[in-house]
Amino acid sequence: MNSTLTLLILLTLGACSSSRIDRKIDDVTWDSLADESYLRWGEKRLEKFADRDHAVVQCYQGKETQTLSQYKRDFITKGAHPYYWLHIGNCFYVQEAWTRAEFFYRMALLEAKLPSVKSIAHNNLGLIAFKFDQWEKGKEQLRLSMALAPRFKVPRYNLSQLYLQFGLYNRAIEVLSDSAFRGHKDIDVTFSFANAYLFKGDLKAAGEYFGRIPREHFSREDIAATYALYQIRTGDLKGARETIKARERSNVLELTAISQKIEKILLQRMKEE
Amino acid sequence: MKTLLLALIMACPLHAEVMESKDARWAKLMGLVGQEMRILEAAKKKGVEIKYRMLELHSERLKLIHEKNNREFLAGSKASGSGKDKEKYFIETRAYYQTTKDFGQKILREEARNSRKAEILYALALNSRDYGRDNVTEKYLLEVIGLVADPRNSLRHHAQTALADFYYNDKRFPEAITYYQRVIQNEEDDWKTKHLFNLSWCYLKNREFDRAIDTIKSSYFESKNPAYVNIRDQVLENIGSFYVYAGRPLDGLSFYLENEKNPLPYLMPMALKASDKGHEKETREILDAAQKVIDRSALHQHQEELFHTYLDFYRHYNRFTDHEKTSRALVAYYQKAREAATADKKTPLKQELRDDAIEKMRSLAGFLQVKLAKDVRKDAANYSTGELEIVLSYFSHLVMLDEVRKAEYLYFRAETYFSVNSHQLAADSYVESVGEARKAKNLDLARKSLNSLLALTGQEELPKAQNKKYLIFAYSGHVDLWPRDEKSEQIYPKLFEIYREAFDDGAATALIAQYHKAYPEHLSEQQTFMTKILDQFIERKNTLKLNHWIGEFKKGFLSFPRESVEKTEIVLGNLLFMEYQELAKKGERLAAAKGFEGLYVHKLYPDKVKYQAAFFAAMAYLELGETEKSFYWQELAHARMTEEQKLERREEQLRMAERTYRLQDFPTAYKIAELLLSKWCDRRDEVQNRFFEIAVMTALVDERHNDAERVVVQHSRCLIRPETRDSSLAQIYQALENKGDFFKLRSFVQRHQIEPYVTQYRYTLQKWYWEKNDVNLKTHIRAEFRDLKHSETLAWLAEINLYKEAEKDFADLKASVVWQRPQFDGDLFNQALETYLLKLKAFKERYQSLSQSSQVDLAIVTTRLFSQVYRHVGETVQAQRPLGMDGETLVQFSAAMKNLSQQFLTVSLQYEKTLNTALLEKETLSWGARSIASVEAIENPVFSFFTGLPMDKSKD
Repeated sequence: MNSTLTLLILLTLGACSSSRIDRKIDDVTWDSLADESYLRWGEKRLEKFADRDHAVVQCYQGKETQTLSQYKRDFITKGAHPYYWLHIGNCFYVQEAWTRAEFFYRMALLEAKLPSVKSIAHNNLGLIAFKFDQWEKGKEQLRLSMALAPRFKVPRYNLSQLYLQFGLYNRAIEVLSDSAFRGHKDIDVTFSFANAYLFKGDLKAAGEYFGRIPREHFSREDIAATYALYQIRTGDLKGARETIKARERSNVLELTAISQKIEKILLQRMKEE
Repeated sequence: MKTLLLALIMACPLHAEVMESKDARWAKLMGLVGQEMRILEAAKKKGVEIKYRMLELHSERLKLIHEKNNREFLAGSKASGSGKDKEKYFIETRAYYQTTKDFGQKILREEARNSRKAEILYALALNSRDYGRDNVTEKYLLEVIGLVADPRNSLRHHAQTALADFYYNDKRFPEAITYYQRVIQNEEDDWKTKHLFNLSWCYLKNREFDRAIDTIKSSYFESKNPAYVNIRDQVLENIGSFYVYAGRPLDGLSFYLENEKNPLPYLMPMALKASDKGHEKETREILDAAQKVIDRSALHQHQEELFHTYLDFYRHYNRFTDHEKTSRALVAYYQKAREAATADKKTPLKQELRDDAIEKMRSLAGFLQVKLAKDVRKDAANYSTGELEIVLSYFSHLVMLDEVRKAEYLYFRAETYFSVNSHQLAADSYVESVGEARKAKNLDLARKSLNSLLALTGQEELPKAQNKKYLIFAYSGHVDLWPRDEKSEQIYPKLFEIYREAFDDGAATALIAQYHKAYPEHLSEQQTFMTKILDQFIERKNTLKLNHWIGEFKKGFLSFPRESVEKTEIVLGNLLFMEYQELAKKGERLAAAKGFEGLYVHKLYPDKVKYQAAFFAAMAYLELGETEKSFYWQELAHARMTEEQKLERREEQLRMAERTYRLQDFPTAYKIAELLLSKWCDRRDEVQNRFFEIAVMTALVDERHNDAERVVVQHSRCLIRPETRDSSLAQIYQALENKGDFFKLRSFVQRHQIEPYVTQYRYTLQKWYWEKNDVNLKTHIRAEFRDLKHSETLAWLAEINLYKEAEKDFADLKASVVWQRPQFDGDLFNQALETYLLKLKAFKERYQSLSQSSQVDLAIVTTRLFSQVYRHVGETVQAQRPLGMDGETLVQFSAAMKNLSQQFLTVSLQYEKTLNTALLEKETLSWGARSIASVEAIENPVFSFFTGLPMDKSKD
């Protein structure tokens, strides 16, 4: 019976699984990358700018099919717009149609004249490469992106995430410490710092960064899990338990597994105490 | 023929019978005369009586001979059509006359005392009068009168009568009067009325008019006496003239009105006579009186004649207006008469003089027409419009009266208008005339009218447009009636030019067809004409007409060469599409597409136009972003293209395929590319190369790796640059690798065992082996390493296995206990420690190489493993606390162990440091690096997913 139930749960999780978690930020002051990416824009912000900004905004509102059709119809009039191909790529990106997204990013690269547009295309191609586990290729794309537009924050942020993925915490910290981020507040940047410091063993610095993150964001499962680990390391088992308990469960299987591991550790440790 | 034969059969016996009876009678009479003559001649003694009888018989025979000669003359005249050589026919008469005369004179000579002398002379006188040329009639008659003194003697009366007639006939009226006056004294002469009549004529001729009237009146009244021969009719016919000659026509009118119930047959001749003699006023009175009689007594049978008499009267006095009025009345009369005859055959309304009426009107119209022309020639502005009206009226009357010659009258009317420079009316009348002539199949008149109309248009007196209208009528009429004719041959080009200039393509093309039919030898000129019309269609964008003619040319009209027809088709296409292309340019692409669709479905258009329409529809839909519809129309276009056209459109379709994938429709772009790649494979050019690339690329974007590979397998021979095949295979390889599908990648590499991806494949598998968590996959990869039998993969496999052993050994090492005896023994402890450290040494010796493995992940995890092993060993050594050891010894022992352990911990840290330095320096992005990062043995939560962000815009 037990095994059947577990299987059912796994199947259910699998069916709903996604590589995404809700990273929407409604408070724009905590989105230092808002000028470069719509991905984390909360519904209110998207709604507010949908009309006056780019059509691609609608893809982030779940209207990818309609928006892509609109792009088709607009080809004659807007095909030459610097962002035309990029935004089609982004709509496909939102649809997780990676090959199509890649195709249009390459189109953008091919047709773009502005370095900023080329930079964006490289950044996005980097992400596509990561989707295919082509880490080195992706990193190269990000480097190209940064070289073309040194003031862009997103490629740096993305590079920092790559470093975090491969345990290159110092590199991550180094990249995130770039002047481009200076004077800005950002949930993910701050969390990345906290994570990097935690995993490189600098609990103090990690604690500082965790302290900067507004409380409401600790419900995000990745932040919650990381913060719980921090709390365990600092001996705050109770706090860790509360953190992990208060998390909003994502449908990311691996993250769910980590959270469950943490819960297990906590249970064990608290028993030991 | 049958009718004629029948007539002959019927007529011949009758004719023969009549002839027989005449001849028989003549022969019988001759026989009788001859018989009697023979009897008398046979008489031995012939007295005066016998001789006189014989003279009578001779005279009788002379009469019969003359009768016969006369018949022969009539027959001969009839046969020859002339009465010449008359005397030749009467030779026998003359000869027998002489015989008879000689016989009579012989009697006169032989018989001195001759009681029949007067009779003989009388007979000779009459024979001379009737058959002779010797002019002895008067002489013999006078002798007879001289011989017969008794005024009551009938011979004397006959001689006087004959002599009066002789003088009358010889126009010796006074002598005639003398003898007639004597003759009429004889009350017993039945012919007194005749003699009175003759006498009245003699008076008339002698200009004794009153006596003449009195005498003829006597004849009229005596005729009422049954004792005399009634010559009333003769008298009535002549008495009117007598009155006229006497200058008393109205008395004549009175005579007739008073004495005859129906004087009409006599009034009209009298009126004419009166008219002739200048009694205009009286004539009118007579005619009006006659009309009254008709009206009063309903003598309508005379109406026709009366009208005619009026006409003659008016014509005589040039009273044209009256003449015309009467003509109008006459026309009305004839109409009425015709209607009456139709209703009742016994109608009194006669139509016997209809032809005469026509002639009278024609004559007068002709006369006036000539007069008008003369007047106009003298002074164009000075002619009688009244006369013109009259002439025109006559032609109208004639049209009514003489329908058979209606065309002719219309023509005359036109000529009349023309003669007075009324060009417009003349032209209209010529047109009417032609129409009528054509109806009546009077081609001569039609030609005449058309020629006159042409002459008129040649003067260019009419307004230009009008002139052209009539010119067209004349030309077209001419070629219609005489399609192959010297004049028509000249007209065709001229008429064509007129039609062309007027943009009357319907007429122009019909004319070309007509010209071609009549003159096929002028084909080249006709083709030139047709081309000019086509140019107009093109200029005016008249696509329907162009289309129609393309169809006709294809059916063979004017035998245009194929190239010309094709050129026209192209032009047609361009025109048809221009409108919708303009719409497309204006941004109304849907309307343009629908327009092209409409052209495609139009059943009249040729395939070329249809294919172009479909193709343009495809382009319009493409511009609308409707890629599937675009392809649908491309396919329809293809179905109607020739191979040549398909090839011509190939590069456009290449661009359409490119546009299609740019419009996010990769499956459709693939279809286009694959279709054309197959179709034109043999051309092996850059276009084919590009189709190949598109087919592969679009299949891969849609993750249809099999399709991409199939394109490479089937169509690589279509490439001009073979390297494209390799790069395409590399793309497929990359796509499969990205997909992470081990089995597909393996089978792909098995099918295409070529560099660089045979090598790359090994590294891909190695990467997957370390990165992927799937245990089954790892098993498959290890098996593949083995199956590849490549030194590299075999080495990697050995290393992987070795590492597994390393992990196991490490686990064993961790499980190993250095010293656990209850009592410490230095030697034994050293041996135990040595044994433990030897394990480490053995571990190091056995697995050290793995940290240098070309498998980066393996090297990383091995290094980390070594770090862990050394740390474990160091910590294990440091942690040794043997039982049974005193406190001081324990302190020294611990210090020694710490020193010893420190070496291992240092090595451990060095491993760790080296690893971190290497990872940091090389920024190694491999699973190995990730796998060593953890807190509380829990991997970093951020490893769960990549939190990178796509970029949408720049702040600028």
